[in-house]
Amino acid sequence: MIDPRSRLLLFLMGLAVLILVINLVRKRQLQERYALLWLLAGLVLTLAPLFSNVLDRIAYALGIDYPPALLLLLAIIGLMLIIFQLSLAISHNSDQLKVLSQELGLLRQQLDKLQREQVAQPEHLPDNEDGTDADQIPYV
Amino acid sequence: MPPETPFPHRLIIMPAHNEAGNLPRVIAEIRVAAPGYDLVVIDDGSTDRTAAVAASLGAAVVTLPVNLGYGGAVQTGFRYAVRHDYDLAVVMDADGQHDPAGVNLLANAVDKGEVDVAVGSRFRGRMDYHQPWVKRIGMSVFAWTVSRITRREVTDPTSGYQALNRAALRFFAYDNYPSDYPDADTLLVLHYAGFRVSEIPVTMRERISGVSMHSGWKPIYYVLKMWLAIGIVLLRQGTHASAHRVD
Repeated sequence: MIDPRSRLLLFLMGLAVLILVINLVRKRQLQERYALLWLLAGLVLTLAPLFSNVLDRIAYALGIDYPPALLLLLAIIGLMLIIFQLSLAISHNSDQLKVLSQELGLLRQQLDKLQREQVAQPEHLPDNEDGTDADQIPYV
Repeated sequence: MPPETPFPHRLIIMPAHNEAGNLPRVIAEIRVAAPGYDLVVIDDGSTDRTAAVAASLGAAVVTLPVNLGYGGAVQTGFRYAVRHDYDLAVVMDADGQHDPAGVNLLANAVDKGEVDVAVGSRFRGRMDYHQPWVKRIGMSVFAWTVSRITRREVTDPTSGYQALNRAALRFFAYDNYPSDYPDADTLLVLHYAGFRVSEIPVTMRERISGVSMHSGWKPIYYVLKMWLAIGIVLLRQGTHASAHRVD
């Protein structure tokens, strides 16, 4: 059985995590998909001290003689999951960033070239996308 | 689109990161050794005057807004080649290590139609400089591994001096290309995707000025990463055969 004082502390910390995460999602500063694991962590923190006798029984059933160690184990697993999810997100983001940078560079080169050509020989450009000029539009 | 020409439409792709000091000499050498080639310099987020120098020397310049690394820059060049409908592209370093005499040797090998990608080998050709021993050992092990798997002798899997035909350019332009350093794993990907690759002897020299990208702890990281990359390619064999190609 974990000491009542540390149980209260855990409970309050869990509540704080839940409130913080929900508030950030509400303000759209945290996306739902990244909030889920944090909410799970917050829930475990809040519920574990309330049902610490259940926690004790699970710990003994798993062969853990010192029940608070189960809490630490859960915390480490939770952190690893969150970090892993971040690694996945970073890989995905850097792939997208690469493509965006490449396209941006290519577009800029094309734009510069077009601008240079236009300065070199200013041609009459059609006004409309379909290649017609404003004064050529047939009135119907 | 550029106008149709009776001659094959050829491009030299030159990734450059802070190479303003080397470009004038390198580009001058290319103009002599490989006339008739268009040149695109991919300025990979340089902080010096690389882009301005390259443009003043008549090269097309694609400036990347951030530093993507060698592979990301080279792939930008592949995309440029595909969009401008080039028949062949030669990738060449901007630091003066790749002797421009190799451009035609590599292109000729691809022109004959027997290979899709020609890789310039410094070990079949000449190497006028020294490398850290960790990297040297790593490279020979990777060369052996790739040779065994592809049943073709590969001596220089890290060579970035390569000529590619249309099919290979399209294969690499949007997918299938690593963003850091294309290497032994890239050769394996080509092999499993059914491309024909061969090595051509070329000369590589000591870089003219600036700092090499392979220094300090990097060789150790490189060797470890390479083993992982090769392992992953072997796991994905089937995927490469049916990999995405642009039409």
